[in-house]
Amino acid sequence: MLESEVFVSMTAETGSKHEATRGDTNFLPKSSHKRSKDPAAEAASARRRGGRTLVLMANEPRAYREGIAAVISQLRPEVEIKTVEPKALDTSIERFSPDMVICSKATEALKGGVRVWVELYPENAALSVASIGGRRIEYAEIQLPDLLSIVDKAAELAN
Amino acid sequence: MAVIENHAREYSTRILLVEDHASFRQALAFMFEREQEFVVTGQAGSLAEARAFMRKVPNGVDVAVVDLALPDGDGFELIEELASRPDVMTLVLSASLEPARLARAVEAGAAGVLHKSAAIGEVVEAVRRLKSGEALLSPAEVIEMLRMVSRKRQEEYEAQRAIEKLTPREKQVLQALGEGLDSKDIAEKLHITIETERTHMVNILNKLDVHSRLQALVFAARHGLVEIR
Repeated sequence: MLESEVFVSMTAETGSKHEATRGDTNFLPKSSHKRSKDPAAEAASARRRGGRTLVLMANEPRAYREGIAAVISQLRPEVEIKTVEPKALDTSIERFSPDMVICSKATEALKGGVRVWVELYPENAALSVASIGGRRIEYAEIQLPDLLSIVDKAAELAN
Repeated sequence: MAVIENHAREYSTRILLVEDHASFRQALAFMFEREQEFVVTGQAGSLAEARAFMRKVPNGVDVAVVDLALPDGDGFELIEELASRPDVMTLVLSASLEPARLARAVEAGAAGVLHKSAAIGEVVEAVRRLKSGEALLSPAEVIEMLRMVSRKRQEEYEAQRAIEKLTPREKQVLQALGEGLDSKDIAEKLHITIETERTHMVNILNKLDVHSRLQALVFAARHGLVEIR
């Protein structure tokens, strides 16, 4: 039994705890300077010079999107969050060049253009899939600390 | 997944979250916890966990926020169990777009229903309104929902009565129809003449009170009489 007050305070520092359970993290690049020089990457790079990692949230339903966005925003204040409707996913990727995307259905534009993404509860199923720097991870029951951990990895990759 | 308990702060609205999508449930708990007036006393990812929590902390909940589609069944029975406690109110938070399911939740005793496409602030506000004694559904809405459940139940009863009238042979004809066969193929499959097949079909249409083969097939599929292959 866990106490939720403990849980809430734990989530603020949970990234490293959950990384420890995910095993090897050596697959992660140590810096972002090897990224391609295409316009989107340049735009992302310019934004990062402002110091903030951008997480785009385009998952559904709305309550999930807004609830999870609010938590990330509060527990990771250094991260910029944008929420958009799922149908605007591809255009928003092009427009904002996010460092990480959380969506309900991964599109080709997402897979080809974003290094870190999470397909959260596709078709309302329990299984979620993440791609972190090209490495695919499946979660039978993804937890909020897992999402925060992935955000941390996205920030690490971006900077 | 563990049931998560929390000790209530005094004068807070105590909330039980029953939702199998853990990351959303935890985010929802966070949203409530950051408001001074709420404390999330329990989190459960299944009916079994919710029941275990209610047994362990029988007086620990003012408002239960319950998803309908849970891994070990629909939330309707749980809603009925919660409704038997006069001090507990249930808000259904569902991804279902079927009005009949939401109506059934109200019949089971839910004080309100919200779709998950609602803004997260609406969810928090709905719990606040419930606790303050405000009705989330107007009497007219409740009556309409109860009527809907009643209609649906009556339709189901009549359908079962109609199905009971079908002979085994007529059910075989319907199954063959579900396999995409036409009159000639059905006759061949069942070793009967086309005229006999047509007689069976006329009888099926009469018994099911439908007007075409397609309608008969839709009826049969809807009530689990045939498998469409």
